[in-house]
Amino acid sequence: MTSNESQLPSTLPVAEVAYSPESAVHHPVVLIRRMVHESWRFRELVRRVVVRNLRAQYRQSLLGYLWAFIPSIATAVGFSLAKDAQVIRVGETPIPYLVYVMVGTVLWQTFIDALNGPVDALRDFKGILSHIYLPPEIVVLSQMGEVLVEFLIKLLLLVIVFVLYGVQPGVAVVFAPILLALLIIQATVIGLILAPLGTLYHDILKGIPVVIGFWFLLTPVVYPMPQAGGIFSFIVRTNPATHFLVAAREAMTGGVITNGWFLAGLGAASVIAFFLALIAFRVSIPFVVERAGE
Amino acid sequence: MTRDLPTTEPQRFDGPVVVEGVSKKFCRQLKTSLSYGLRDICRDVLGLDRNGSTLRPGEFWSLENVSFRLEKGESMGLVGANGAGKTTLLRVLSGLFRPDTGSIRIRGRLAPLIALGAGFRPVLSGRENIYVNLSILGMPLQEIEARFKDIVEFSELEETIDAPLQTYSSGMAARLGFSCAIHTEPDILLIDEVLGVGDLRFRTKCYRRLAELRRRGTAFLLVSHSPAAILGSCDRCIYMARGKIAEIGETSHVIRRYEEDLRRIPTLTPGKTGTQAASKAVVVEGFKVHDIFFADADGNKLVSPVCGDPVTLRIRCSGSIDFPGVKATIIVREGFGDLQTVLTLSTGETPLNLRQGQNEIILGFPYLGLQSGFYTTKIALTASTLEHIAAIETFRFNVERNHRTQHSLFYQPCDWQVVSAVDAGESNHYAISGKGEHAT
Repeated sequence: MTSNESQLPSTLPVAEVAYSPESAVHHPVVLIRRMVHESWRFRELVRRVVVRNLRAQYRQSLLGYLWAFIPSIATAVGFSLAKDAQVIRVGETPIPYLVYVMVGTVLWQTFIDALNGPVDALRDFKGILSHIYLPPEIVVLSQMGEVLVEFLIKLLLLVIVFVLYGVQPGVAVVFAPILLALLIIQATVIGLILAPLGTLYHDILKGIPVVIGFWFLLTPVVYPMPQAGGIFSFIVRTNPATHFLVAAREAMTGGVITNGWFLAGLGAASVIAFFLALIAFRVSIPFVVERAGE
Repeated sequence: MTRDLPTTEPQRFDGPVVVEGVSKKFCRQLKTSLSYGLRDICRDVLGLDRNGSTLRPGEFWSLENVSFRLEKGESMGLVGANGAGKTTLLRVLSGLFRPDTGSIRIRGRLAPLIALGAGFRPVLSGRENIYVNLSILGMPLQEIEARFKDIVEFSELEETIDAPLQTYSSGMAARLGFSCAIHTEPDILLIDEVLGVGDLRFRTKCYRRLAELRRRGTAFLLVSHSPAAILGSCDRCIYMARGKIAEIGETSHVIRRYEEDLRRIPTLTPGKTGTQAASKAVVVEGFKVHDIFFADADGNKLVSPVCGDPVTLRIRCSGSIDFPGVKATIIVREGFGDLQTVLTLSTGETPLNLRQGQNEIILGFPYLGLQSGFYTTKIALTASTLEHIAAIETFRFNVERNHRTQHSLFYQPCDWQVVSAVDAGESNHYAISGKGEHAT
């Protein structure tokens, strides 16, 4: 298909599109086929946006890509000092606490970046989406790619720290990429729902950082999974961010994953939710552009 | 080999654009609009009916029951006052807004020349911006690379292509944007007043390129405020008013109707024009403008002067003292200040000597060159001390159409003659064998 396009652009298959007031979800097959087709057609844009944003992010800074590491290091050092001074008390961690927190914050940061992805993407592209037709899911895919690349940069830090502290990943590390992907997907689902609503009502955009600050405390990032029982433990276990984050950390640091079936189920649900959210996002963008475009 | 060979190319067009009964509603109150938007999103995501055909409180039809077809290689004009729904129509056609009723079918690649240079970043070089822009228009990398050279060549920016875009002039950036847009080989082009690109020579080149695309079967929808641009390049035309198609058909017919409506809008009553203006005209104590009006050659007041007729513009004023050496400047503007035509008439070297008491300043036009339409005028009278003694912000008048002019920007009185060497014989006396009068 691509080679054809590039050689003989004049014999491109004629694309026919129809616009009507009828909801696109009535014809799911047509909709999904169009989404796939367009995502493929705009692949160059996805690649370009990822590269551009990664480059632009640290363009005006002296420390450059070090900024990918600094927040994790700061958090880890801060919590370690607090723990050593016995200001905070956390349960025993299987690996040195500093490393434990560092892995936790890198994963948490990735979760938050993925959650903010659709919101940021819509803010960046609102002007273009108001003037030129772009398949809206493209901007989300670009953001997901960017989050993934940023994680890989941060992984470099983790590898260095692992070597320094002698932390060895076990066999479970083979599940780490899947768990990480699910963590990103899960966060993106939330972002996909919040982004169009937040573009209409800025209350949502203002609320996100507030909620994230609170959410951090309810997720086992700087402390291990609490023992079952009690309200706090219940909240932590109900928190959707908990499971993939904890499992990914276990997988990366030589721990064991005990709740495999539960994670598989949650993973399947997240993937289904992702595609539904992507469709909902696509359907809602024309309304957002119409009411709150530029 | 004059017979048509069987073509192997697939049938590319089947009426590239078919619009049927399309309506679009909007709401001017932001809060209400947002809550409607939220409700529409929820209903649409769940697959429920949005009740598109009924207006909710505070809504109005930005487009109402619009239907037309655009055929292959056809060029369609789109005219209408501001807020008539032209831009909304283009946005619905580009797939940015969902219609509330009706349907739109589009076959082929549609390129909007609406936002030229979408995604241009000032810090990136011209070269990088071409890649960004074309990828936004949905082009894969190999295709961009294949067209890159043509785009740069067309935009005539070979020397500066590696400089950051922020070092370009706005005309250069626009040239780059236009060049990118037309190299997407579109089947349908939506053009919204963007041909004010670059200098005249580049504009001519753009028009040539558009004509070439049209020969190859690209269909055009051209939005313009300028009837002349539409007349010059469109077979058919749509005139939109208040969200509806007021007229559709052969261009000159539609444009005539549009121009007539434009003239009708201000609803001027005779006499009111001048006196209203004069009442605000006091700048200097002791000098007053009483009336401004057009008159025919005999001094009879005219409600609206007729294009091509000899007329005079008269300013009645009075002063408590003598005002010698007064100069006058008159700025005539077409329409409501869209600044389409500005004529500045100045008294220049011949100052007007106004005496104490009543005066009438008479500005004679042997032929009124202004085309039929509606005009807004500013008049300033300046004393020899360079001080304004009167300034009339708006004097409005209509010019009536005459039989001599059609589709012209202005009336050019002229004589026609034929001089034949045969009639003149051997002597070099030319004979006049015909005489007429015609407009440009």
